[in-house]
Amino acid sequence: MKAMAGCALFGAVKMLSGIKDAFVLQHSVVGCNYGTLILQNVHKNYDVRQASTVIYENEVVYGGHELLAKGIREVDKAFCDDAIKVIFIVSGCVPNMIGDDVEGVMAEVACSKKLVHVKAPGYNGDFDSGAETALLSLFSFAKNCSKTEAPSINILGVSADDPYAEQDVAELQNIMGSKVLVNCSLHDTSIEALEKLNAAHLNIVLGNGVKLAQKLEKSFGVPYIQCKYPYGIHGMIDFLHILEEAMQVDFTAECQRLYENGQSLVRKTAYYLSTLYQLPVALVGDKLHLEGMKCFLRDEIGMNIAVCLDVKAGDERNLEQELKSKNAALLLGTGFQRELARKMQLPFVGYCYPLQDQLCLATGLIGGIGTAHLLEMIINSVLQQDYKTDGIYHQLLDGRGDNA
Amino acid sequence: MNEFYKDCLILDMKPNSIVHRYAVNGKISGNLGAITCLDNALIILVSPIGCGFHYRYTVRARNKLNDVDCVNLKNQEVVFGSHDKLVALIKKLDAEYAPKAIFVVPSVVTDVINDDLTGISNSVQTEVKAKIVVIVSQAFSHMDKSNFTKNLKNTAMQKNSTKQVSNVLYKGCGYVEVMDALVEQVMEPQKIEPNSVNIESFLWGYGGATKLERMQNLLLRMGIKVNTFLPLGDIDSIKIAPKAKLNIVRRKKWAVSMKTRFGTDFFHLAMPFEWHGFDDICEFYREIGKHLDLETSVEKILQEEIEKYKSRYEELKTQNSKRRACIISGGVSNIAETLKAYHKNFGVRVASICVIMNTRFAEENGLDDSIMKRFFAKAEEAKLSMNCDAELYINPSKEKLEVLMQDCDYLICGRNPRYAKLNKPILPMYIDRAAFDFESFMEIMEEVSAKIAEPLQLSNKLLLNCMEFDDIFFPREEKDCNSKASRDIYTEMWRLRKK
Repeated sequence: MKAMAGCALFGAVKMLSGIKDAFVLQHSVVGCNYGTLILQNVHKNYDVRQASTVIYENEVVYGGHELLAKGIREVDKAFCDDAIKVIFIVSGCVPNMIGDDVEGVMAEVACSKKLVHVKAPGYNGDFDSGAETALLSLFSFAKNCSKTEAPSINILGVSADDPYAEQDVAELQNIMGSKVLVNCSLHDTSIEALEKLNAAHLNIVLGNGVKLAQKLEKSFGVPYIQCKYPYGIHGMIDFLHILEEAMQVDFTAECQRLYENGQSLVRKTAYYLSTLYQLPVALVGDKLHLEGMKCFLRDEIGMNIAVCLDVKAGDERNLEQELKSKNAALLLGTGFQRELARKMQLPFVGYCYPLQDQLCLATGLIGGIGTAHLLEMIINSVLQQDYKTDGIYHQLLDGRGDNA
Repeated sequence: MNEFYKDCLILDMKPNSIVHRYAVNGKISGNLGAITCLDNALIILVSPIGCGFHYRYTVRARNKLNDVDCVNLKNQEVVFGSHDKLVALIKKLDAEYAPKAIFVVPSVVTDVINDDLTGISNSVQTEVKAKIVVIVSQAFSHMDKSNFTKNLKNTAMQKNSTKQVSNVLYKGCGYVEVMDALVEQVMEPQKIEPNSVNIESFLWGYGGATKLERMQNLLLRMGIKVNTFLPLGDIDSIKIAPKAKLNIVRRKKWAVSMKTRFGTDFFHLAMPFEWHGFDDICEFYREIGKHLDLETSVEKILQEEIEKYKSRYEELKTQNSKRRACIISGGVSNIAETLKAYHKNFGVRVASICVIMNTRFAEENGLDDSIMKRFFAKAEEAKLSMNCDAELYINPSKEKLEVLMQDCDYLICGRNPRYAKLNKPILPMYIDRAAFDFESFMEIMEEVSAKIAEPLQLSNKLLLNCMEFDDIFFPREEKDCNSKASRDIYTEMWRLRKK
């Protein structure tokens, strides 16, 4: 198979990357640290908070206990102030195979930071299971606390490695105004905010995080709702309606404004939108984004979702076959599908992790302005696509050559 | 040589050098770097899915992803081995894609369980058309750090006047593992063609393809045929590599294996950037001529080339000597080469040399004081031997730099925007822009001369200059203490482990 998603370790590290006063120490081989860094976090190289113990042949023979203890001490020494409060130890394949007692080391080593172990061997579980395990480990921080005065939500499942997370959450807050506040969103949070997870009135689970939400509900009575990522005008309006129902707030004005945004957008893009209508589109994405994007393309743009593939279960070799057999005319996916699109001369839009070949700074993809940005990307990808550059009838010549 | 700038832009835009401050990739990236140079070859990574995912994107793959399949090892395989999954995948790829070769690449998981990938592959070889090549791990996970330190020590101890002789074999480097596999499993005995060479197409710096193409043309004029570039082409061109009389190599280990197995002699270039200018180009081809007993025909072409470019070269050198330069270097280990390139070969009038380096360089690389002293002494020796009267300053203060600016017309330096604040025109330093033919060298010489005559004065509106960056670790700022600490931990946990 040609892998389209990472393993449990990738899922765990990704979910923890947004806690800005926590450090992720990977007890694994070098490649895991490099891979998790280069696939997204490196775009934020002004704030790298991860390292590896670098398991090597010595540890395979004698065990990685001493190495792990040294790693923990090094992090403790490097952050002797309060900049880092917690060290998450994410253990990978090799320590699990050689039977390293990670928690035993954690109990014995002298360290001023709180230590949390997230077990994530790559061969035992997948990206989502690693993400869930990491998210569940955050429960230990939640304290009993009073609710925020204004209605508030936590957003679970979004991570710092998601290329548009920062802009999208900011836009969501902008739309909700002071009616509902974001108490904690995991793409950009702190230990203090995690301690106050229960101050929120509602947990919104986008993608991963359902186990954490269930535990928070059971232990602290914070209800949760699983939602689609609110792409599109109606996607966001639906999302606001869910909040209205759950939190007794009134978003009529906001929904009206979004609707007007939509009207203005359609006025400017109507011609282009009509060319997308009913065309077969292929969609690839992760648990966090896939369903929301599918609804937007199908319900709001009117496209025919010919292929819809969760990267976790995906094999890019099969995807190529499917794209051919389903005659997809457009592909939306991760940075890993760009090359396939190029090979097949398909217009391509990269919208979710990993977007290793794309910097995302200005505008997110949700709300009025985000939807405009998303439409821009889709339409421009088509307008700028190289197509039949060898000549309109070039394929006929190729065919003749084959038969000759 | 336009490829040089395109290489610079496209490769440097990838944040590899930044990631390398905090991490290093596993040796699989080197395995893939070598195998993906070959045509019609597929790769199976015998690993869990995470490795199969992240190794699709490595910096060596330039602007594409590696075409890698993965067996997706699970608990079952960790206990019982990868046999069933690997065999099934080999057969599937062979039937569906008909490759000429399938490379089986191990992972840390197969290395820990000691999976017999060679045995498994042999058992299925008769059932598939593709040649199966199994990469054998020479180290666990990746090569250790000691080679880099050994190389630095070598550089410090060797004389400026001689080219570096390296004893470093890079055992466990993923690239070397593949080259060894090609020697052991693919190459076949051949009748030797006397006037022929193989050239290793690896690590020739930016613009490498053009360099090798022009090298090939010059060799041809000398009566020397390039038998094959390694690793390049398909598996058939690797098979016939032993036809060559001589290997021109960048990594030594596989060349030693090839000498042992087929008797092929080799000429090792430890550091291409120390080969610079007319003299070194001549030395390079004379060395090849010596190995092949073709000294006369080599010399004839060299003299023709020198004659063709000599007067223009001298003219440009004179022109370049009219303006004074201050060289600012980020390290001390290559001052001799920098002076050779700019002072001796380009004819630049060097007014001063400033080394602005990481003050923890020695500590982070496990070098003791004597090695650092030797580097400084080498820099002084280089000045003396080249009649360069410029003063050498190590980490000069801001005030000192400002004084030095009064004595120069332009700077030769790297891309840290802090130098733009010195308010002098800048000539970008392209130390690794070595050329191995006269035409390319003269193109570079023309460019350098044009830039010296009209150097680029950066505007004071440069956006980058609204920030105070770290002197060494651009684009970090002083306040980015998390990133700094992550680097320190990486240094402590790995870079200094086998100092």
